[in-house]
Amino acid sequence: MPSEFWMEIGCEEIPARTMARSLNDLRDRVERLLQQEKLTYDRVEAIGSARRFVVRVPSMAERQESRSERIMGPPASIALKDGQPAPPLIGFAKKNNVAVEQLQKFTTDRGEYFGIESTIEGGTASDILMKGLPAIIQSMTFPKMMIWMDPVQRFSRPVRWIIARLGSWWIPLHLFGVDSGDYSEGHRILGSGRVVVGSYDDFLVKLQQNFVIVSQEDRRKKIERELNEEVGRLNGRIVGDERLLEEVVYINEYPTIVRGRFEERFLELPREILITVMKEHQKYFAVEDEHGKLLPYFLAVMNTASDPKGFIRKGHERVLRARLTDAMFFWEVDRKTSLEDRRPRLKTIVFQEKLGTYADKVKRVAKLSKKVNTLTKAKVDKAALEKAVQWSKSDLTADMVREFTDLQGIVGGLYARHDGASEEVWRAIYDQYRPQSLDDRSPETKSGAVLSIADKLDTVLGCFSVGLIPTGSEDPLGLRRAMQGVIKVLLDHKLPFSMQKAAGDGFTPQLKQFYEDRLRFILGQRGFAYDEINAAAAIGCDDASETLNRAEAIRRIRSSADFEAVSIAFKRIKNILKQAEQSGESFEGEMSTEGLEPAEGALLAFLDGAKLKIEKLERGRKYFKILETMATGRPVIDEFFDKIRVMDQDPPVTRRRLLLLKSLLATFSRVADISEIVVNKL
Amino acid sequence: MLNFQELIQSLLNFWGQKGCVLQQPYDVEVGAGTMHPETFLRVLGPEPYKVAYVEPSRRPADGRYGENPNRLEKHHQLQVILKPPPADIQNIYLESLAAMGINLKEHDIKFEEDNWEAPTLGAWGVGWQVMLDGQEITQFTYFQQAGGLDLFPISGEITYGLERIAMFLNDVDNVYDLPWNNEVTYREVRHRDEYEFSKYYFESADTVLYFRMFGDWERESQRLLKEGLVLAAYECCLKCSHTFNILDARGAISVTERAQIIGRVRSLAVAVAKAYVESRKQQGYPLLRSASGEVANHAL
Repeated sequence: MPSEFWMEIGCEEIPARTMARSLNDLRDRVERLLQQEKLTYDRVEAIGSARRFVVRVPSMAERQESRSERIMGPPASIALKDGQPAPPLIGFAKKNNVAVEQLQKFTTDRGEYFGIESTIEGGTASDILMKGLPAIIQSMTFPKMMIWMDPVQRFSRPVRWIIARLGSWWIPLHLFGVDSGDYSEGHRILGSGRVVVGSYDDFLVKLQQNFVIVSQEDRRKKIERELNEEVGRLNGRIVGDERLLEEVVYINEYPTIVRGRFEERFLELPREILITVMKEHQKYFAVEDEHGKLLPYFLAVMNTASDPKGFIRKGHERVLRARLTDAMFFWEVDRKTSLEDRRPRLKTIVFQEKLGTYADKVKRVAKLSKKVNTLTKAKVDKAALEKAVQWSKSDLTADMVREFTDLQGIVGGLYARHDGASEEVWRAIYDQYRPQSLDDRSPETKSGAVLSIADKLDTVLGCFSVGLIPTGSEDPLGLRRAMQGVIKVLLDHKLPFSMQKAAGDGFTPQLKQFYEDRLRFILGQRGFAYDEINAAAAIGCDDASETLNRAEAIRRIRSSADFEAVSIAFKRIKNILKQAEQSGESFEGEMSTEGLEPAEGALLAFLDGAKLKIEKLERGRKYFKILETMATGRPVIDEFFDKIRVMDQDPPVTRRRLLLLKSLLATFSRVADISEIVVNKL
Repeated sequence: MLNFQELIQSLLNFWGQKGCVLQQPYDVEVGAGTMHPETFLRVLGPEPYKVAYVEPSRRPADGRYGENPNRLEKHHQLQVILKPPPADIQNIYLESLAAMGINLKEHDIKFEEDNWEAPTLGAWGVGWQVMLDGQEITQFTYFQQAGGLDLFPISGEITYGLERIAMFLNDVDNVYDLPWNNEVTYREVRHRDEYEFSKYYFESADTVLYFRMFGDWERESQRLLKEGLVLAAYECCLKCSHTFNILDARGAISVTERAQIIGRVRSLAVAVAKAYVESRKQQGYPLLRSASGEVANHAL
C-alpha cells in the first residue's frame, strides 16, 4: 500500500540567499535516492524557510518491487551426459549451494543453458530511507559551511531537530547529534516552543497556528498581496526587485508588511541612492508614483504578525533616517571634491596585490580602451573616452561608495555629471560595471560599452598574467562573470571585435580557451544547440558578434532538407579527405580539368559560381545567404557521389577528385563547419 | 527604560547567572572584544569556558571629533563567549533581550547572515547580525578558526553593540544624548574624549615613534615567545595591532606596507595561538576537569 513520506530538518537561520537552491538540491537528492532504490513514487516536493527544510512525497511504495535474478551456469550441451548431470553442472550447483534438481534450463540468444532463477524480495521503504537519508543530508553542500557539535560534520548552520515519517511510522534518524522526533518548532517569538505533530497535514496546520507559513509560495503570495494593498493606498507602485523579494520570502517565517515614511527632504537624493539604501541595507521596498517618481515611503517585511504599538514601524523609520542622513551628508560633502581632484588618492587603494593600485588600473584601462574603441569601430570621441577612463575609479575614494559599495560607478556617473562632464562621459562612468550578470542590461551608450569592455577585459588579462586563473568551481575574483560581461556587451551592441588583437601578448592558449568557453556558454544560454555552437565556433570565435551571426544563420537554415543533405555530404567529404591524407595521398596544387566526367564538371561549375558569390556575400556578412547558396548545391553534390568513385585506379584522377572536394570544403567552410551539424534522420 | 550603565549591569547580571565568568575589560587597547585574551586565547584548545565582559573598543579611523551622532573612536561592546555553545544558545540570547526590558512580541527580530573574519588574528566564523526593528544590535558568531588553527570544540560568540542598543532603548538618535545614568549624559562623560583622541589619531600622533614602537613590540613579542611567556607575548601582539591602527588612521601607511604589516601582526597572532595551545597542554588542560574531578566530555 502506498504511503506518504515527509521529513523536516530544523535549523538555526540558514542564509536566505541560498535557500531556494538548497531546497531544490535536497529534493533532487531524495528523488535520486528513490529512483536508485527503485521505490515508486508520485512526486517529490520541497518547501521551507530559513529555519526548516521540508521534503514530502505524497505517495510512495512501502517496499521495492520484488525482482527475479538469474545466475547462468554451463550450456546444456555439456551439462548433461547421457541424460545425467555431468561434472560442470554438478560443480555449478555445488558452488551456488543448490540441489542439481533445482536448476532450470533457459533458452538464450546463444543457445540453451542451465541456471538458477530466484526471486529477490524488495527491501522496505522504511529501511531504505533510514539508511539513505542521513547520507544524502550530510553530503549537502552550501557556499559557506560550519562545524558545531562534531569536528568533521558540516552544514550551513546548526541542525536542531529532525522529523521523518513514512505513513504512520516515525523513521528513526540520527544526524548531526540530533535524534529525530515527533516535534517541530514554531515561530521563534510567537510560537509556543516545541510543537508535537502527527501527519503532514497536521504539521502544516500546527505550524500555521504557531505562526510559521512553511510554504515559500504561500509566504510570497502573502507578501505580494500586502505590498499591493499598501501601494494601492498610496496610489503608487512597488519598485520591483525579484532578488529582494526572494530574500524576504526566505528570511521571514511569518512575513507581514509594515509601511514606513521618511522625510520629503531626502527625496533630493538621486533615486538610485535612495533605492540602494532602502534595498541593499534595510531590505525595504521602495515605492514610486505612476510617473516613476519615488514617494517618501518604504515597505518593510517584518517577521511577525502585527505591529500593535507601532514600535516596529518607528524603529525601521529611525534606522532609515540615520542611513539617509549619512547618505545626504556624503552627497553634499563628496561633491565638494571633484573626481579629477580625487584621482591622486587612487594610488592608496589596492586593486589587486600583484596588479597594483587603482591608479595603475586606470593607466592600463586608458590604453586598452583606445584599442577597444578602434576594434569595435564604436567611434567614441577620443577626448570623451579618455576623460571617462581617467575619472572612472575616482568614486572609490568617495564616502558614499565606501558606505554603499553597490553604488560604485553609479555614484561616479552622478558626480561626473555634477562636475560638468558631457553625457557621453558621465553615462560611461555610470554604466561601467554593467552588466553585472547575464540578466543585467548592458551599458546604454557606446562610450559606456567601450569602458565596460576595457575595464572587465583588463581585470581578466591582468589576473591571467599573474597566474590568477579560475579553476573548477573556484573563481574568487569573478573572472568568468567579467569575461561574460565583455562578451555580452559586444553581442548586445553588435560590435565587431578581435579578442586576439585586444589581448595582444596576453592571448595565451589558456586565455583563448577561457574566452571560447565563456562564449560557448553564452550562446548556449541564448538557446543555441551544441552542434550549432560547434559548427559556428569551428570557423573562429575571435569576433563574438560574428560567431553569433553565424550560429543564427545555421539555426535558421538547419531544418531545410537541402541543407541537411549537404551537411551529411560534408561529413562524407571530410572523412574521404581524412582517409586519403592518412593513406599518404598528396593532393596539393592546381587541379587539372582534362577529361572530367559530367558529374565532376557539374560540381566544378557550381563551385566556381558559388565561390564568387560566397566571397561577395562574405564581405557583406550575409551568412544566411551563404548557407542558402551552399544548400543549392545539393543536386550536383548528390549527383557527384552517385556517379563518381573518388578513389580511382588512375592516381592523377584520384588526385583531381580529392582537390575538387578540398576546394569545395574550403569554400563552404566560411560560415561554419557544417559537418558538425547533427542530423537526426540518417 | 534602562540607561547606559543599567543596560551593562543587566546584561552582566544575566550572563553571570548563566554561569559565565564575569571578567573586566582588558587593560590594553584593543579594537574589539574578540581581541581580549579571554576570547582570543580561551577559544583555542579543548577546554570549555564561559565568560562575559565589557570591552571598550578603540577604532582610531572611526573617530569623528565628537561630531557624528553614530560613530565613535571608542565604543563599548559586551562580549559573551560560550564554549562549547549550548544547543539553545539563540533562545538564551533572546532571553537576554527580554532581560533588558524588550518585549519581543512587540518587535521584529531577525537573524540575518553575516560571517565574521579578522585577518590580523587569522580568525573567522559563521553567524548572523541580529536585527531588531531593522537595527543591527548584536553580532552572533560561531568561531571556526582562530590564530590560523581549526577550533574544536567551537565557541559561540555574542557581541552586543552597547551604544546602539541603549539608543534603541532610550529612543534617541544621537549617541551623545544617551543617559549614562540618571544624572549625566554620554556627552558629559565621553565627548571630550572623542574630540581629543580624534585630533590625536588624525593629526598629532608621532608616526616616527609609532613605527619604532611597532618594531619594538614585535621583537618583544617574538622574544617572549621564545621564553615561553605566551600571555605577555600576546599583549605585545595587541600593542602592535593598536599601533598599526593609529598609523593607519594617521594615513602613514602606504598601500604596499599595509598588507605587509597586517601580515606581520597575523604571524605574531598565529605564533601565540600555537604556543598557547601547547602551554595549556603542558599544564594538563586545567579546565577540562569538571567540579566533580571527572574529565568533561568535551575532551574529544
